[in-house]
Amino acid sequence: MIDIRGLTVEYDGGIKALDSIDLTVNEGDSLGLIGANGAGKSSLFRALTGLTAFTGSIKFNGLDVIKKNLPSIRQDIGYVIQESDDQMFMPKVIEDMIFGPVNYGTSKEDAVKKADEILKKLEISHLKDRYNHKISGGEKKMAAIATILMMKPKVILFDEPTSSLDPHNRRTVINAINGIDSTKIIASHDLDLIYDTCGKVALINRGRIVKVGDRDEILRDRELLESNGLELPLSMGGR
Amino acid sequence: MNRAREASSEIRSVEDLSKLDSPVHGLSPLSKLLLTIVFIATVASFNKYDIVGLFAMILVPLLGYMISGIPVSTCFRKLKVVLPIVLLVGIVNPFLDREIMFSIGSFRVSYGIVSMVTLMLKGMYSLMASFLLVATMPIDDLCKSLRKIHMPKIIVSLLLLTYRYVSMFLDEVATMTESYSLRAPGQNGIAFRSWGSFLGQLIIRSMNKADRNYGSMILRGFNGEFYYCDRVFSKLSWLWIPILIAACVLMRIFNVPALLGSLFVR
Ligand SMILES: Nc1ncnc2c1ncn2[C@@H]1O[C@H](COP(=O)(O)OP(=O)(O)OP(=O)(O)O)[C@@H](O)[C@H]1O
Ligand SMILES: [Mg+2]
Repeated sequence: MIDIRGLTVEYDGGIKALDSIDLTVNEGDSLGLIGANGAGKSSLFRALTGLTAFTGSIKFNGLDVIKKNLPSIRQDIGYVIQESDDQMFMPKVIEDMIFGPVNYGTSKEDAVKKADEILKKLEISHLKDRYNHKISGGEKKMAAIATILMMKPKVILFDEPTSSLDPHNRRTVINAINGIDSTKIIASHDLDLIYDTCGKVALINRGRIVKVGDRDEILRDRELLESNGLELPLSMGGR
Repeated sequence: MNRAREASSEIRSVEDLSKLDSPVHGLSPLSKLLLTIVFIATVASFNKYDIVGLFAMILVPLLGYMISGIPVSTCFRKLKVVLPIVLLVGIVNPFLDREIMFSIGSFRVSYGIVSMVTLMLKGMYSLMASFLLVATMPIDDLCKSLRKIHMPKIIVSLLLLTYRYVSMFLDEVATMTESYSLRAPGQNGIAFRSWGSFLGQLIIRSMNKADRNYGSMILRGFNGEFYYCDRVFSKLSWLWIPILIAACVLMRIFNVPALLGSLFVR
Protein backbone atom coordinates (compact mmCIF):
# COMPACT_ATOMS: atom_id res chain seq x y z
CA MET A 1 0.00 0.00 0.00
CA ILE A 2 2.86 2.36 0.83
CA ASP A 3 6.17 1.76 -0.82
CA ILE A 4 9.09 3.96 0.11
CA ARG A 5 12.37 3.72 -1.78
CA GLY A 6 15.50 5.73 -1.11
CA LEU A 7 13.57 8.46 0.66
CA THR A 8 15.77 11.37 1.66
CA VAL A 9 14.55 14.54 3.32
CA GLU A 10 17.07 17.32 3.58
CA TYR A 11 16.23 20.62 5.23
CA ASP A 12 17.88 23.98 4.62
CA GLY A 13 21.30 24.02 6.10
CA GLY A 14 22.05 20.47 5.00
CA ILE A 15 20.37 18.64 7.88
CA LYS A 16 19.40 15.22 6.60
CA ALA A 17 16.27 14.34 8.55
CA LEU A 18 15.89 11.12 6.56
CA ASP A 19 18.67 9.42 4.71
CA SER A 20 17.78 7.02 1.96
CA ILE A 21 15.04 5.09 3.69
CA ASP A 22 13.28 1.97 2.34
CA LEU A 23 10.04 0.90 3.95
CA THR A 24 6.96 -1.00 2.90
CA VAL A 25 3.60 -0.83 4.61
CA ASN A 26 0.92 -3.31 3.58
CA GLU A 27 -2.78 -2.77 3.62
CA GLY A 28 -4.22 -3.34 7.09
CA ASP A 29 -0.83 -3.08 8.78
CA SER A 30 -0.43 -1.27 12.01
CA LEU A 31 3.14 -0.06 12.01
CA GLY A 32 4.86 1.54 14.96
CA LEU A 33 7.49 4.11 14.10
CA ILE A 34 9.86 4.52 16.99
CA GLY A 35 12.98 6.56 17.46
CA ALA A 36 14.49 9.19 19.73
CA ASN A 37 13.76 12.90 19.40
CA GLY A 38 14.92 14.19 16.07
CA ALA A 39 15.11 10.70 14.56
CA GLY A 40 12.99 11.77 11.59
CA LYS A 41 9.53 10.40 12.39
CA SER A 42 7.61 13.57 11.71
CA SER A 43 9.68 14.23 8.62
CA LEU A 44 8.63 10.85 7.26
CA PHE A 45 4.98 11.72 7.76
CA ARG A 46 5.38 15.12 6.17
CA ALA A 47 7.05 13.57 3.16
CA LEU A 48 4.33 10.93 2.85
CA THR A 49 1.65 13.59 2.69
CA GLY A 50 3.62 15.78 0.30
CA LEU A 51 4.06 18.55 2.84
CA THR A 52 7.84 18.42 2.65
CA ALA A 53 10.06 18.17 -0.40
CA PHE A 54 12.04 14.94 -0.67
CA THR A 55 14.13 12.88 -3.04
CA GLY A 56 13.64 9.19 -3.72
CA SER A 57 10.24 7.70 -4.35
CA ILE A 58 7.09 7.14 -2.34
CA LYS A 59 4.28 5.17 -3.88
CA PHE A 60 0.86 5.26 -2.31
CA ASN A 61 -1.54 2.66 -3.69
CA GLY A 62 0.57 2.60 -6.81
CA LEU A 63 0.44 6.38 -7.20
CA ASP A 64 3.64 8.37 -6.91
CA VAL A 65 3.59 11.03 -4.24
CA ILE A 66 4.09 13.94 -6.62
CA LYS A 67 2.26 17.20 -6.93
CA LYS A 68 -0.13 15.99 -9.60
CA ASN A 69 -1.37 13.09 -7.47
CA LEU A 70 -1.54 14.87 -4.15
CA PRO A 71 -5.25 15.72 -4.16
CA SER A 72 -6.30 12.10 -4.64
CA ILE A 73 -3.63 10.75 -2.28
CA ARG A 74 -4.52 13.19 0.45
CA GLN A 75 -8.12 12.17 0.25
CA ASP A 76 -7.04 8.76 1.52
CA ILE A 77 -4.62 9.86 4.23
CA GLY A 78 -5.46 11.14 7.67
CA TYR A 79 -2.64 12.79 9.54
CA VAL A 80 -2.82 13.55 13.25
CA ILE A 81 0.03 16.02 13.55
CA GLN A 82 2.27 16.30 16.56
CA GLU A 83 1.19 19.85 17.40
CA SER A 84 -2.56 19.54 17.90
CA ASP A 85 -2.71 23.27 18.41
CA ASP A 86 -1.99 23.69 14.74
CA GLN A 87 -4.22 20.87 13.62
CA MET A 88 -7.37 22.77 14.44
CA PHE A 89 -8.12 25.88 12.47
CA MET A 90 -11.86 26.40 12.78
CA PRO A 91 -13.25 28.22 15.81
CA LYS A 92 -15.19 25.31 17.31
CA VAL A 93 -14.42 21.63 17.71
CA ILE A 94 -17.50 20.54 15.78
CA GLU A 95 -16.75 22.95 12.93
CA ASP A 96 -13.30 21.49 12.67
CA MET A 97 -14.65 17.96 12.68
CA ILE A 98 -17.04 18.45 9.79
CA PHE A 99 -14.62 20.55 7.75
CA GLY A 100 -12.99 17.60 5.99
CA PRO A 101 -16.06 15.48 5.17
CA VAL A 102 -18.00 18.51 3.91
CA ASN A 103 -15.10 19.43 1.66
CA TYR A 104 -15.36 15.97 0.18
CA GLY A 105 -19.06 16.28 -0.48
CA THR A 106 -20.78 14.89 2.63
CA SER A 107 -23.81 16.95 3.61
CA LYS A 108 -23.52 18.98 6.77
CA GLU A 109 -26.25 17.02 8.59
CA ASP A 110 -24.62 13.69 7.82
CA ALA A 111 -21.26 15.04 8.87
CA VAL A 112 -22.65 16.25 12.19
CA LYS A 113 -24.28 12.88 12.78
CA LYS A 114 -21.00 11.14 12.13
CA ALA A 115 -19.24 13.63 14.40
CA ASP A 116 -21.61 12.76 17.21
CA GLU A 117 -20.72 9.07 16.89
CA ILE A 118 -17.01 9.74 16.94
CA LEU A 119 -17.23 12.15 19.86
CA LYS A 120 -19.10 9.49 21.76
CA LYS A 121 -16.58 6.82 20.90
CA LEU A 122 -13.77 9.03 22.15
CA GLU A 123 -15.86 10.01 25.18
CA ILE A 124 -15.54 13.69 24.44
CA SER A 125 -19.11 14.64 23.54
CA HIS A 126 -18.80 17.53 25.99
CA LEU A 127 -16.21 19.16 23.76
CA LYS A 128 -18.48 19.36 20.74
CA ASP A 129 -19.42 23.02 20.96
CA ARG A 130 -16.34 24.23 22.77
CA TYR A 131 -13.86 26.64 21.23
CA ASN A 132 -10.59 25.20 20.09
CA HIS A 133 -8.60 27.94 21.74
CA LYS A 134 -10.37 27.44 25.04
CA ILE A 135 -9.75 23.76 25.65
CA SER A 136 -6.84 22.13 27.40
CA GLY A 137 -3.83 20.62 25.67
CA GLY A 138 -5.02 17.04 26.13
CA GLU A 139 -8.57 17.88 25.12
CA LYS A 140 -7.15 19.46 21.99
CA LYS A 141 -5.29 16.27 21.24
CA MET A 142 -8.48 14.23 21.61
CA ALA A 143 -10.36 16.68 19.40
CA ALA A 144 -7.60 16.57 16.79
CA ILE A 145 -7.82 12.78 16.70
CA ALA A 146 -11.58 13.10 16.32
CA THR A 147 -11.25 15.41 13.32
CA ILE A 148 -9.05 12.89 11.59
CA LEU A 149 -11.27 9.91 12.38
CA MET A 150 -14.05 11.86 10.68
CA MET A 151 -12.26 11.50 7.37
CA LYS A 152 -12.46 7.67 7.39
CA PRO A 153 -9.09 7.61 5.64
CA LYS A 154 -7.55 4.46 4.20
CA VAL A 155 -4.31 5.24 6.02
CA ILE A 156 -3.94 7.16 9.25
CA LEU A 157 -0.70 8.64 10.42
CA PHE A 158 -0.56 9.33 14.14
CA ASP A 159 2.29 11.53 15.34
CA GLU A 160 2.55 11.14 19.10
CA PRO A 161 -1.18 10.52 19.59
CA THR A 162 -0.95 10.11 23.34
CA SER A 163 1.46 12.84 24.33
CA SER A 164 -0.18 15.10 26.93
CA LEU A 165 -3.05 12.67 27.56
CA ASP A 166 -4.04 11.48 31.00
CA PRO A 167 -4.10 7.68 31.60
CA HIS A 168 -7.82 7.44 30.98
CA ASN A 169 -7.76 9.33 27.71
CA ARG A 170 -4.63 7.49 26.69
CA ARG A 171 -6.49 4.23 27.12
CA THR A 172 -9.49 5.61 25.21
CA VAL A 173 -7.23 6.59 22.33
CA ILE A 174 -5.55 3.20 22.32
CA ASN A 175 -8.93 1.50 22.17
CA ALA A 176 -10.04 3.85 19.43
CA ILE A 177 -6.90 3.19 17.42
CA ASN A 178 -7.40 -0.53 17.80
CA GLY A 179 -10.97 -0.14 16.67
CA ILE A 180 -10.00 1.40 13.32
CA ASP A 181 -9.68 -0.91 10.34
CA SER A 182 -7.55 1.50 8.33
CA THR A 183 -3.88 0.99 7.77
CA LYS A 184 -2.08 2.82 10.56
CA ILE A 185 1.35 4.23 11.17
CA ILE A 186 1.95 5.42 14.69
CA ALA A 187 4.99 7.46 15.63
CA SER A 188 5.72 7.64 19.31
CA HIS A 189 8.21 7.27 22.10
CA ASP A 190 5.47 5.76 24.18
CA LEU A 191 6.56 2.20 23.54
CA ASP A 192 3.78 0.76 25.65
CA LEU A 193 1.34 2.48 23.34
CA ILE A 194 3.16 1.03 20.35
CA TYR A 195 3.08 -2.38 21.96
CA ASP A 196 -0.66 -2.14 22.49
CA THR A 197 -1.52 -0.92 19.01
CA CYS A 198 1.04 -2.17 16.52
CA GLY A 199 1.90 -5.52 15.02
CA LYS A 200 5.03 -4.33 13.26
CA VAL A 201 7.63 -1.84 14.38
CA ALA A 202 10.23 0.19 12.50
CA LEU A 203 13.05 1.66 14.53
CA ILE A 204 14.72 4.74 13.14
CA ASN A 205 17.72 6.61 14.38
CA ARG A 206 19.20 9.80 12.92
CA GLY A 207 17.29 9.47 9.70
CA ARG A 208 18.08 5.84 8.99
CA ILE A 209 16.05 2.71 9.50
CA VAL A 210 17.82 0.54 12.02
CA LYS A 211 15.45 -2.38 12.03
CA VAL A 212 11.96 -3.36 10.92
CA GLY A 213 10.33 -6.36 12.51
CA ASP A 214 7.55 -7.87 14.54
CA ARG A 215 6.52 -6.01 17.63
CA ASP A 216 7.93 -8.53 20.08
CA GLU A 217 11.16 -8.91 18.21
CA ILE A 218 11.95 -5.21 18.58
CA LEU A 219 10.20 -4.05 21.71
CA ARG A 220 11.71 -6.84 23.84
CA ASP A 221 15.24 -6.17 22.65
CA ARG A 222 16.67 -4.03 25.44
CA GLU A 223 20.07 -3.69 23.85
CA LEU A 224 18.70 -2.60 20.49
CA LEU A 225 16.41 -0.03 22.07
CA GLU A 226 18.98 1.40 24.43
CA SER A 227 21.63 1.75 21.78
CA ASN A 228 19.13 3.85 19.83
CA GLY A 229 18.17 6.24 22.58
CA LEU A 230 15.05 4.40 23.76
CA GLU A 231 14.13 2.21 26.71
CA LEU A 232 12.24 -1.04 27.13
CA PRO A 233 8.49 -0.48 27.46
CA LEU A 234 7.34 -0.59 31.09
CA SER A 235 5.18 -3.58 30.37
CA MET A 236 8.30 -5.42 29.21
CA GLY A 237 10.00 -4.78 32.48
CA GLY A 238 11.60 -1.49 31.52
CA ARG A 239 12.43 1.10 34.16
CA MET B 1 -3.90 38.45 31.24
CA ASN B 2 -1.16 39.01 28.74
CA ARG B 3 -2.13 41.86 26.41
CA ALA B 4 -1.53 39.88 23.24
CA ARG B 5 -3.56 36.97 24.56
CA GLU B 6 -6.32 39.41 25.41
CA ALA B 7 -6.26 40.88 21.93
CA SER B 8 -6.46 37.48 20.28
CA SER B 9 -9.40 36.43 22.38
CA GLU B 10 -11.10 39.75 21.54
CA ILE B 11 -10.70 38.99 17.87
CA ARG B 12 -12.13 35.56 18.38
CA SER B 13 -15.08 36.86 20.30
CA VAL B 14 -15.85 39.18 17.40
CA GLU B 15 -15.91 36.09 15.25
CA ASP B 16 -18.55 34.73 17.63
CA LEU B 17 -20.69 37.79 17.14
CA SER B 18 -20.55 37.18 13.43
CA LYS B 19 -22.28 33.84 13.88
CA LEU B 20 -25.40 35.38 15.46
CA ASP B 21 -28.65 35.59 13.62
CA SER B 22 -30.27 38.88 12.71
CA PRO B 23 -31.57 40.56 9.59
CA VAL B 24 -28.20 42.27 9.24
CA HIS B 25 -26.35 38.99 9.57
CA GLY B 26 -28.64 37.56 6.95
CA LEU B 27 -27.62 40.06 4.30
CA SER B 28 -25.27 38.92 1.63
CA PRO B 29 -21.65 39.63 2.63
CA LEU B 30 -20.87 41.39 -0.62
CA SER B 31 -23.76 43.77 -0.27
CA LYS B 32 -22.60 44.66 3.22
CA LEU B 33 -19.05 45.10 2.08
CA LEU B 34 -20.19 47.40 -0.69
CA LEU B 35 -22.36 49.41 1.66
CA THR B 36 -19.53 49.79 4.15
CA ILE B 37 -17.16 51.00 1.47
CA VAL B 38 -19.70 53.51 0.18
CA PHE B 39 -20.43 54.67 3.70
CA ILE B 40 -16.78 55.21 4.60
CA ALA B 41 -16.11 56.96 1.31
CA THR B 42 -19.09 59.25 1.84
CA VAL B 43 -18.05 60.07 5.37
CA ALA B 44 -14.50 60.76 4.28
CA SER B 45 -15.65 63.08 1.54
CA PHE B 46 -17.45 65.49 3.87
CA ASN B 47 -16.00 68.97 4.02
CA LYS B 48 -13.88 69.37 7.13
CA TYR B 49 -16.11 72.11 8.46
CA ASP B 50 -19.41 70.37 7.66
CA ILE B 51 -19.95 69.14 11.16
CA VAL B 52 -23.73 69.26 11.05
CA GLY B 53 -24.04 67.15 7.93
CA LEU B 54 -21.63 64.67 9.38
CA PHE B 55 -23.66 64.33 12.55
CA ALA B 56 -26.54 62.94 10.55
CA MET B 57 -24.40 60.22 9.04
CA ILE B 58 -24.27 58.39 12.33
CA LEU B 59 -27.79 57.22 11.59
CA VAL B 60 -26.56 54.63 9.10
CA PRO B 61 -24.30 52.63 11.44
CA LEU B 62 -26.65 53.17 14.36
CA LEU B 63 -29.45 51.62 12.37
CA GLY B 64 -27.17 48.70 11.60
CA TYR B 65 -26.26 48.19 15.24
CA MET B 66 -29.88 48.40 16.32
CA ILE B 67 -31.14 45.86 13.81
CA SER B 68 -28.24 43.48 14.31
CA GLY B 69 -28.72 43.47 18.07
CA ILE B 70 -25.05 44.23 18.68
CA PRO B 71 -24.75 47.03 21.24
CA VAL B 72 -22.73 50.01 20.04
CA SER B 73 -20.88 49.83 23.33
CA THR B 74 -19.45 46.46 22.26
CA CYS B 75 -17.79 48.20 19.36
CA PHE B 76 -16.21 50.83 21.59
CA ARG B 77 -15.14 48.27 24.14
CA LYS B 78 -13.49 46.04 21.57
CA LEU B 79 -11.87 48.93 19.81
CA LYS B 80 -10.70 50.72 22.92
CA VAL B 81 -7.12 50.28 21.83
CA VAL B 82 -7.47 51.88 18.41
CA LEU B 83 -10.11 54.43 19.25
CA PRO B 84 -7.80 56.90 21.04
CA ILE B 85 -5.42 56.82 18.09
CA VAL B 86 -8.24 57.68 15.73
CA LEU B 87 -9.44 60.42 18.03
CA LEU B 88 -5.98 61.91 18.35
CA VAL B 89 -5.60 62.48 14.64
CA GLY B 90 -7.01 65.98 14.56
CA ILE B 91 -5.62 67.11 17.88
CA VAL B 92 -3.33 69.78 16.44
CA ASN B 93 -5.97 71.43 14.27
CA PRO B 94 -7.22 73.85 16.96
CA PHE B 95 -3.70 75.23 17.26
CA LEU B 96 -3.20 75.69 13.54
CA ASP B 97 -6.55 77.13 12.61
CA ARG B 98 -7.60 79.63 15.27
CA GLU B 99 -9.98 81.79 13.29
CA ILE B 100 -13.37 81.91 15.03
CA MET B 101 -16.17 80.18 13.17
CA PHE B 102 -19.03 80.82 15.56
CA SER B 103 -19.59 81.24 19.24
CA ILE B 104 -21.94 79.60 21.67
CA GLY B 105 -22.52 82.15 24.39
CA SER B 106 -19.09 83.29 25.39
CA PHE B 107 -17.46 80.11 24.12
CA ARG B 108 -15.74 80.78 20.81
CA VAL B 109 -15.48 77.87 18.47
CA SER B 110 -12.61 78.16 16.00
CA TYR B 111 -12.40 76.52 12.58
CA GLY B 112 -9.67 74.37 14.04
CA ILE B 113 -11.91 72.92 16.72
CA VAL B 114 -14.62 72.18 14.20
CA SER B 115 -12.23 70.44 11.84
CA MET B 116 -10.80 68.47 14.75
CA VAL B 117 -14.25 67.26 15.68
CA THR B 118 -15.16 66.34 12.10
CA LEU B 119 -11.94 64.38 11.78
CA MET B 120 -12.71 62.54 14.98
CA LEU B 121 -16.20 61.81 13.83
CA LYS B 122 -14.98 60.56 10.47
CA GLY B 123 -12.59 58.19 12.18
CA MET B 124 -15.15 57.03 14.66
CA TYR B 125 -17.83 56.41 12.05
CA SER B 126 -15.44 54.46 9.90
CA LEU B 127 -14.47 52.32 12.85
CA MET B 128 -18.08 51.78 13.80
CA ALA B 129 -19.01 50.75 10.29
CA SER B 130 -16.02 48.45 9.82
CA PHE B 131 -16.62 46.80 13.15
CA LEU B 132 -20.25 46.23 12.31
CA LEU B 133 -19.22 44.67 9.03
CA VAL B 134 -16.77 42.29 10.66
CA ALA B 135 -19.14 41.50 13.51
CA THR B 136 -21.99 40.53 11.21
CA MET B 137 -20.07 38.65 8.56
CA PRO B 138 -18.19 35.41 9.20
CA ILE B 139 -14.94 35.60 7.29
CA ASP B 140 -15.59 32.28 5.57
CA ASP B 141 -18.87 33.56 4.22
CA LEU B 142 -17.19 36.62 2.82
CA CYS B 143 -14.60 34.40 1.18
CA LYS B 144 -17.28 32.21 -0.27
CA SER B 145 -19.10 35.12 -1.83
CA LEU B 146 -15.87 36.51 -3.19
CA ARG B 147 -15.36 33.16 -4.89
CA LYS B 148 -18.86 33.40 -6.28
CA ILE B 149 -17.97 36.56 -8.11
CA HIS B 150 -14.89 34.76 -9.42
CA MET B 151 -12.27 36.44 -7.31
CA PRO B 152 -9.17 34.26 -7.82
CA LYS B 153 -8.77 31.43 -5.31
CA ILE B 154 -5.31 32.54 -4.34
CA ILE B 155 -6.46 35.99 -3.28
CA VAL B 156 -9.45 34.68 -1.37
CA SER B 157 -7.40 32.04 0.45
CA LEU B 158 -4.87 34.70 1.28
CA LEU B 159 -7.59 36.83 2.81
CA LEU B 160 -8.90 33.94 4.90
CA LEU B 161 -5.49 32.87 6.09
CA THR B 162 -4.41 36.41 6.91
CA TYR B 163 -7.50 36.82 9.04
CA ARG B 164 -6.85 33.56 10.83
CA TYR B 165 -3.19 34.29 11.28
CA VAL B 166 -3.79 37.54 13.07
CA SER B 167 -5.08 35.74 16.14
CA MET B 168 -2.58 32.92 15.71
CA PHE B 169 0.21 35.49 15.55
CA LEU B 170 -1.05 37.23 18.66
CA ASP B 171 -1.18 33.90 20.49
CA GLU B 172 2.41 33.32 19.51
CA VAL B 173 3.35 36.78 20.81
CA ALA B 174 1.57 35.94 24.04
CA THR B 175 3.29 32.60 24.47
CA MET B 176 6.68 34.09 23.76
CA THR B 177 6.28 37.10 26.03
CA GLU B 178 4.99 34.82 28.77
CA SER B 179 7.92 32.48 28.56
CA TYR B 180 10.24 35.47 28.33
CA SER B 181 8.88 37.07 31.45
CA LEU B 182 9.04 33.77 33.31
CA ARG B 183 12.77 33.73 32.73
CA ALA B 184 13.28 37.45 33.23
CA PRO B 185 11.41 38.17 36.42
CA GLY B 186 11.09 41.79 37.39
CA GLN B 187 11.71 43.01 33.88
CA ASN B 188 9.12 45.27 32.43
CA GLY B 189 8.52 44.30 28.83
CA ILE B 190 11.28 42.93 26.70
CA ALA B 191 14.81 44.23 27.04
CA PHE B 192 15.85 46.29 24.05
CA ARG B 193 18.81 44.07 23.24
CA SER B 194 16.51 41.06 22.91
CA TRP B 195 14.16 42.69 20.44
CA GLY B 196 15.99 41.54 17.35
CA SER B 197 16.06 37.88 18.21
CA PHE B 198 12.60 38.05 19.71
CA LEU B 199 11.11 39.46 16.54
CA GLY B 200 13.05 37.09 14.34
CA GLN B 201 11.89 34.12 16.40
CA LEU B 202 8.36 35.40 16.37
CA ILE B 203 8.26 35.59 12.60
CA ILE B 204 9.83 32.19 12.09
CA ARG B 205 7.61 30.53 14.65
CA SER B 206 4.46 32.08 13.28
CA MET B 207 5.46 31.01 9.81
CA ASN B 208 6.02 27.43 10.94
CA LYS B 209 2.72 27.44 12.74
CA ALA B 210 0.95 28.88 9.73
CA ASP B 211 2.60 26.28 7.56
CA ARG B 212 1.43 23.37 9.73
CA ASN B 213 -2.01 24.88 9.93
CA TYR B 214 -2.31 25.27 6.20
CA GLY B 215 -0.96 21.75 5.83
CA SER B 216 -3.73 20.31 7.94
CA MET B 217 -6.27 22.32 5.97
CA ILE B 218 -5.22 20.94 2.62
CA LEU B 219 -4.94 17.46 4.08
CA ARG B 220 -8.60 17.73 4.89
CA GLY B 221 -9.60 18.66 1.40
CA PHE B 222 -9.36 22.43 1.41
CA ASN B 223 -8.78 23.55 -2.15
CA GLY B 224 -9.71 27.19 -2.01
CA GLU B 225 -13.47 26.61 -2.12
CA PHE B 226 -15.80 27.10 0.81
CA TYR B 227 -18.17 24.18 0.72
CA TYR B 228 -18.66 24.26 4.43
CA CYS B 229 -20.32 27.67 4.43
CA ASP B 230 -23.99 27.10 3.92
CA ARG B 231 -25.67 30.18 5.28
CA VAL B 232 -28.36 31.25 2.85
CA PHE B 233 -28.53 34.98 2.44
CA SER B 234 -31.63 37.07 2.25
CA LYS B 235 -32.81 37.76 -1.28
CA LEU B 236 -33.64 41.25 -0.11
CA SER B 237 -29.94 42.06 0.35
CA TRP B 238 -29.66 43.70 -2.99
CA LEU B 239 -32.92 45.53 -2.59
CA TRP B 240 -32.34 47.59 0.47
CA ILE B 241 -28.62 48.04 0.09
CA PRO B 242 -29.17 50.46 -2.83
CA ILE B 243 -31.65 52.33 -0.69
CA LEU B 244 -29.09 52.76 2.05
CA ILE B 245 -26.40 53.70 -0.41
CA ALA B 246 -28.73 56.29 -1.91
CA ALA B 247 -29.42 57.57 1.58
CA CYS B 248 -25.71 57.98 2.24
CA VAL B 249 -25.24 59.89 -0.97
CA LEU B 250 -28.26 62.07 -0.35
CA MET B 251 -27.08 62.88 3.14
CA ARG B 252 -23.78 63.88 1.61
CA ILE B 253 -25.33 66.17 -0.99
CA PHE B 254 -28.11 67.70 1.07
CA ASN B 255 -27.73 68.94 4.56
CA VAL B 256 -30.33 66.64 6.06
CA PRO B 257 -30.37 68.06 9.61
CA ALA B 258 -30.84 71.54 8.17
CA LEU B 259 -33.61 70.34 5.88
CA LEU B 260 -35.38 68.57 8.71
CA GLY B 261 -34.90 71.61 10.88
CA SER B 262 -36.44 73.88 8.29
CA LEU B 263 -39.41 71.54 8.05
CA PHE B 264 -40.20 71.95 11.70
CA VAL B 265 -38.99 75.44 12.32
CA ARG B 266 -40.88 77.58 9.95
N1 LIG C 1 11.95 22.72 9.38
C1 LIG C 1 13.12 22.17 9.67
N2 LIG C 1 14.28 22.74 9.25
C2 LIG C 1 15.47 22.19 9.53
N3 LIG C 1 15.62 21.05 10.22
C3 LIG C 1 14.52 20.43 10.67
C4 LIG C 1 13.22 20.95 10.43
N4 LIG C 1 12.31 20.13 10.99
C5 LIG C 1 13.03 19.14 11.56
N5 LIG C 1 14.36 19.31 11.37
C6 LIG C 1 15.42 18.43 11.81
O1 LIG C 1 15.21 17.17 11.20
C7 LIG C 1 15.48 16.13 12.10
C8 LIG C 1 14.27 15.21 12.18
O2 LIG C 1 13.17 15.94 12.72
P1 LIG C 1 11.75 15.28 12.96
O3 LIG C 1 10.84 16.35 13.35
O4 LIG C 1 11.40 14.47 11.78
O5 LIG C 1 12.07 14.33 14.21
P2 LIG C 1 11.08 13.42 15.07
O6 LIG C 1 11.56 12.03 14.97
O7 LIG C 1 9.69 13.68 14.70
O8 LIG C 1 11.40 13.97 16.52
P3 LIG C 1 10.41 14.13 17.80
O9 LIG C 1 10.33 12.82 18.45
O10 LIG C 1 11.15 15.10 18.65
O11 LIG C 1 9.13 14.66 17.29
C9 LIG C 1 15.84 16.77 13.40
O12 LIG C 1 17.26 16.74 13.52
C10 LIG C 1 15.37 18.17 13.29
O13 LIG C 1 16.23 19.03 13.98
MG1 LIG D 1 8.14 14.58 15.59
